[in-house]
Amino acid sequence: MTLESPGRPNRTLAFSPHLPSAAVILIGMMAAVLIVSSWLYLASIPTNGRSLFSSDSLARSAEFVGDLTGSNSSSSFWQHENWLDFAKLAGDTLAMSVLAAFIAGIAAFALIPFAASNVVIVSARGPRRLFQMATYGLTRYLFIVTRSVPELLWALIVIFVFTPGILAGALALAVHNIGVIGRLGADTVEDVEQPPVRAIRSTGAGPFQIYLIGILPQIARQLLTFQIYRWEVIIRTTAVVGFVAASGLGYQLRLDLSFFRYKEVGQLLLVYILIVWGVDAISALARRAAR
Amino acid sequence: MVSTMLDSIRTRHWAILTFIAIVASISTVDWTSATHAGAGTSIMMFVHALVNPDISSATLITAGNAAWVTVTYAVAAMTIAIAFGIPLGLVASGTLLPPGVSNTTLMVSARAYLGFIRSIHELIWALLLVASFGLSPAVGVLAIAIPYSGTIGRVFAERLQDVPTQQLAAFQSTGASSLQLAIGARIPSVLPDITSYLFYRFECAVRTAAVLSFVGLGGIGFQIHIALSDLKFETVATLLYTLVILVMAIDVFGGFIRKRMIV
Repeated sequence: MTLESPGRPNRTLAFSPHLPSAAVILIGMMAAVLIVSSWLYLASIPTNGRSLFSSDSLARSAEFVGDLTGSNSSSSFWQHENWLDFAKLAGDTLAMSVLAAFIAGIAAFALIPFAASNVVIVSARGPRRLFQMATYGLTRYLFIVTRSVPELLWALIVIFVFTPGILAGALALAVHNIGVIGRLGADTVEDVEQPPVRAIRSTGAGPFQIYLIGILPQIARQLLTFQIYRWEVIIRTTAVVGFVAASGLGYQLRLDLSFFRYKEVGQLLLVYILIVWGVDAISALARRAAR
Repeated sequence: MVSTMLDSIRTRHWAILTFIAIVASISTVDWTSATHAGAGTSIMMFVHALVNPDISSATLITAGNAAWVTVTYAVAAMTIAIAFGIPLGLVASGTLLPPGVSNTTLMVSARAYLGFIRSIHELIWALLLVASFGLSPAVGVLAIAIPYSGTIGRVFAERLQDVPTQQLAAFQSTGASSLQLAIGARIPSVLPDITSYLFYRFECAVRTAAVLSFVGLGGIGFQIHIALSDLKFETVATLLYTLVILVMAIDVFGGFIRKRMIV
């Protein structure tokens, strides 16, 4: 399993030379049609922007990069008031990401057993089985909807209810991540090794006792590692959610871009990359400890 | 296992640090004015809309068109991201050439490049590219393709390095060079996994393309923006479900291909 893809773990993969050729040809043709028509469609959109590789456009972007790095004029990189302001904004951004990871982790952890068919669907027949299947379906539906909608669109919706700020941003990030963490967790629970589960079932344990004692210890480290990894993904997106949630580095970045203060944009980007790398480093250490 | 985890001092330190970080982040929130007045009504309206999405033909046509625009951006971005990410990943894996100074130099510089381009979020790339080149579909495509080529390259490189040595031993015993080993053994053995990873990335690209409206490009996000401004929550729900259907379709299709490729 890769941490980045919510695929199912513990499977040996090997390339099969026996692909059904008709299916392969059909899929290949569909992909080709999709790729060609996408490019044709995008090329047909009239633009009033500059052509991407004209000399005018390249000169303009060289100037832009000069503005960003502050090499064109007096640089704001030496103004320490800016650094203090940006350090505070970076703190807000970090707080938003931690809060988001925390909310998403707790909510997903609570929901995972209800989205695992081997935990929640236990009755053989009757109304109880229907009820269990409904619980399973509803939780999976919740995961699919929350996962399919990106954080920024959730942010647009969340600010109808919550005042823009750290909490609103964290909630928008959390809602999307509940779906991502929950789906991977539930899939992991469904793929779990059966012998310990059978042994505990034979003692007469109920489904949630089996989950807590037979399944959770098997997957705890894997879930924890994935949760820590999600924090890395969240920190990258937090700045962007800040555009909408009106807080942290993202909001300042949006303001500075709107006012063409490109020197400050360069400085903000530097702070952003530093905290992204910092979080990556902490996360790598934490994941090693959790493994 | 749980007890050994608690016994380890390092784990306990991590737990304390995590706890402090969570408490500190909660304390930054201004809880007294966290919600708008009438927040309950807004939530009820939104939940009501999710259960009763607008399925009038006009809205469905809008949603279909927006979905098409979003998919075209995602597809175009993925073709560029794969075209650049896979070769860069090959270089960054360091498995092409025999170990040596030139291989290490290539490997380290490819990794640094991939690490840099993927640490900036797609939308920030979009904002920077728009500020630099002006608004055009090419900018939207590049904004997704640049960081995605970084992630695809990194994951491809890691997979190539992680191929178990037992799987390579038979090939090595024939005296194959690093390059022959990469083409004959490493790449084929990571192909199913990489294919399913690319499908996952495509799914992410669709979600990202949906929010390109933030820099002024069309698609599902743009329509959601409009519908939210008009307070048409039922239309918002229809558009959200369109995105859900797109993501589910890619998920199912990717799973199908993955199954075909695994023995």
